[in-house]
Amino acid sequence: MKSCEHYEELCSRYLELELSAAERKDFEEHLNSCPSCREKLEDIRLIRQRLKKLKPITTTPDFETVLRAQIQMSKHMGRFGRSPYWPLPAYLRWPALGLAAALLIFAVTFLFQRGGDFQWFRSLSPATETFATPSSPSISTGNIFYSLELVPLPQKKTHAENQPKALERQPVSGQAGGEAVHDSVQIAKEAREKAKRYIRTVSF
Amino acid sequence: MTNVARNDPNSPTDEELIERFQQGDIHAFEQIVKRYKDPLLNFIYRFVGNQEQAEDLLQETFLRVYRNRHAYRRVAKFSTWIYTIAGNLARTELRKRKRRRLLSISDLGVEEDKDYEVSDDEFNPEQHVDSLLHDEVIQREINKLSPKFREVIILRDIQEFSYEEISKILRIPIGTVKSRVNRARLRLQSQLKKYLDKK
Repeated sequence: MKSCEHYEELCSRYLELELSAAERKDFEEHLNSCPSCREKLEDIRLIRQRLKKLKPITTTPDFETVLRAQIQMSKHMGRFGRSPYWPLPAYLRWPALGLAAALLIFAVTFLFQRGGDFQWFRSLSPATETFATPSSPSISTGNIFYSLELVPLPQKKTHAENQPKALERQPVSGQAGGEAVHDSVQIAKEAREKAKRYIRTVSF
Repeated sequence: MTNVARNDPNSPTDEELIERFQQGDIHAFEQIVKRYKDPLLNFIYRFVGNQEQAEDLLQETFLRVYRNRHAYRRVAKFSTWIYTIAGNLARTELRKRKRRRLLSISDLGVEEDKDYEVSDDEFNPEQHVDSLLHDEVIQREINKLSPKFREVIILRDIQEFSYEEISKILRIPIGTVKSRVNRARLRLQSQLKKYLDKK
């Protein structure tokens, strides 16, 4: 014997006359023996009738006026309803933001890498320059020793032009003095050339 | 109430109107609005249970038709297309409400145990049910159905669409529509039973 659940599944098909003759006969036989299913079916039939008679509602009188205004506004906002301040359609919003974020990360990484390069960073800040001189106090960074001295620049000059001056301020003594000056001029000349080459490689 | 039908057989079909609108005839769009505003409003209202929100969603539906008119292709019936747009908007609204936990039966302003008078006329089961089941009660019980049951019962038993059209509007197989309609009717019957038992 089939359960009530089986006949419940057939309720709509029975009401909408979609059951075959055999199925219909079987269904009706069950209804005759099952008051619960009979009541359920009758309720559904009455509810369906009642749903068809639900009082329809109507739009407010200014509905079409408001719609026209909205359409005008949407025309002003652009074809995709986008803001004039946001020039891309909505579906490009997230890809564009992702691309912008990627570019920003790339730019920041690039600046940090170049900023860590002492020579390059110095060329961007002309107010004061730091030079290695033998007379300045020594500081230690790991196994490498640097002598540092702050030298204010009278004019905007590149490191390449200033470095030789600092080197020329080395004390000169004795007979070897002239040779020493000649050597330091030579060293300064080479350093200048080297610095110029270096600056050329880092400039944009 | 029934779904959209042309009153005058000589008037253009929906598909002719949308085609004219696609070619730039704004008057055709206005005719579409006139033809669909009330049936669609009722569909959305039965779905979301609030007339003001239903009208806002209806505005959005027509705005989308306006903006996306070139997306419509004649392979589908215009009514299917516009009901799909409206249904999607109504469903999204219900999801938003669920997220915000705003869904409340008290919104309808119907008291739970309100008694309704029963007329003493000669007994007629259908008239009797009309007096027992007020529109507000039915709407409240429809609101208690899950959205997937709600939409099929509105489309089938209130708007009287064919199973085939419902299948196209909701983009689900016809067999699924039929079984879902049956389950929705059984669910609604179990909810409304307490009112019908008063006879």
